[in-house]
Amino acid sequence: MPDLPEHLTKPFVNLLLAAADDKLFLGHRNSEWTGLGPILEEDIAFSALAQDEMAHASALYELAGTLDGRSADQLAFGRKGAEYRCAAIVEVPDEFDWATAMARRLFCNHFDVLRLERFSHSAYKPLSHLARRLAAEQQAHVQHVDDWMVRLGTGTPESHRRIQQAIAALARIAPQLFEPVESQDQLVAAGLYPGRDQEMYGQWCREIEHVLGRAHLSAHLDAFNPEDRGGRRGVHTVHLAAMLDEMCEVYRLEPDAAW
Amino acid sequence: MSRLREEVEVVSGDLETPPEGDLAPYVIFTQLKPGQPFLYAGYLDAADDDMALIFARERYGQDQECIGIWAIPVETVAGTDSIHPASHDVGGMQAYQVFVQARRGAGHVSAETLEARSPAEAIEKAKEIHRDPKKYYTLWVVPQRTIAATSTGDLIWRFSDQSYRLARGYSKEVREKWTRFRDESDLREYEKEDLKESF
Repeated sequence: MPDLPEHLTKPFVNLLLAAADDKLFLGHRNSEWTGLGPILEEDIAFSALAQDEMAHASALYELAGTLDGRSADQLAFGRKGAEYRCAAIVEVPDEFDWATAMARRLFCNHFDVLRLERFSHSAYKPLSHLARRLAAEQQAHVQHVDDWMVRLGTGTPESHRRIQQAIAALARIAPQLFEPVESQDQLVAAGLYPGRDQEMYGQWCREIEHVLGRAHLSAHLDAFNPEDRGGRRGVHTVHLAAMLDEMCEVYRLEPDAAW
Repeated sequence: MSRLREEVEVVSGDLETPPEGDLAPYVIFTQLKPGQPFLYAGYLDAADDDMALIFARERYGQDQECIGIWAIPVETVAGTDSIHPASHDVGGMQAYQVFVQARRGAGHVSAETLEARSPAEAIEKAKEIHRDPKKYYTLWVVPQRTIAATSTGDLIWRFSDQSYRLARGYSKEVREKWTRFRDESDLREYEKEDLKESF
């Protein structure tokens, strides 16, 4: 087992859980679209992307489990609401509005690429190796959502109006992706999560503005206020509990069942 | 089914746009290893080349090792078969990619490129190349410029194991579980017999 200072183990596990939880719930929200995608081909593609997110979440849970002692299933389905570390943007329902589903992916996918980039330079080798593998797949997700942004933004007046509306609505909570987990500054200082939040935030804004510019759209993004306690510190929207109830319905019947 | 689905509003009545929308059919080819030809993978509908490549990657590229994808608008395919007439005029001397179907029912495989003034001429030239001995069932020719391709170095196949999504992955997993279960019950039977003998 590579070295990890004992006092940093819990914050580091929380950092991994933040990434895994984001992907688990984004994947779940997207999987709700299976059979309802706007066209057949996109239905297939979108379901495949949702499963990619689940696969990434699963790999990150496995890694967190090696430090935490719990299995990937226990971490994914067996925690209490306040123990989850996902951001609000993956919790809210999209009401089966395609524009909202795409706007959510825009903010999340660009964030994920940058987070995986930081993970890939982590002093914790098992994470840096995993992140390099996941980053390559994440790039395909970004291409997919960027393509849809341009398509919707420059499509018809209706598609433009609806995607612009969805972006404006989600832009209000999207910066909460940048809320640090507890003791994140110590993880940064120890090289476990190298890089600076401020720079990552700037890069994220530039990437999103670039895509939206191509799509004739715009977003107003405010920097995250560190005083706001949100999902990364266990404060969640009401939607998380409802989603967990549905996702964990089978798991909770027999938590130790062998699958 | 998710309970959320029950809340989805069902829209009834006439569609405002025709069901096929503004989509066009594409034929997809995949290259599995460097230096190997592109193999017929299947068809899909997409609004344009970019979208066709994205869909093709999800549908045909990801569950096997795959390093390149071609997406070709079906209307630009000319063939010796009756499905793809060589009547359309795409104008001027240009490079054509030839695809060979070795026998009836087989998928087309990419072969050489050649220069021709029209699809009909490209077909004649391709027939000439593959004439002796006749090694094909049908031939297709496609203007090279109409082929949308992934870039070299693009990641197409998945790293993460999602073989559970495939029929073969499912049967593999079930077989393993069944073997494990049977081994365990065999062991229990053996222990029972063993105990009987001992006492």
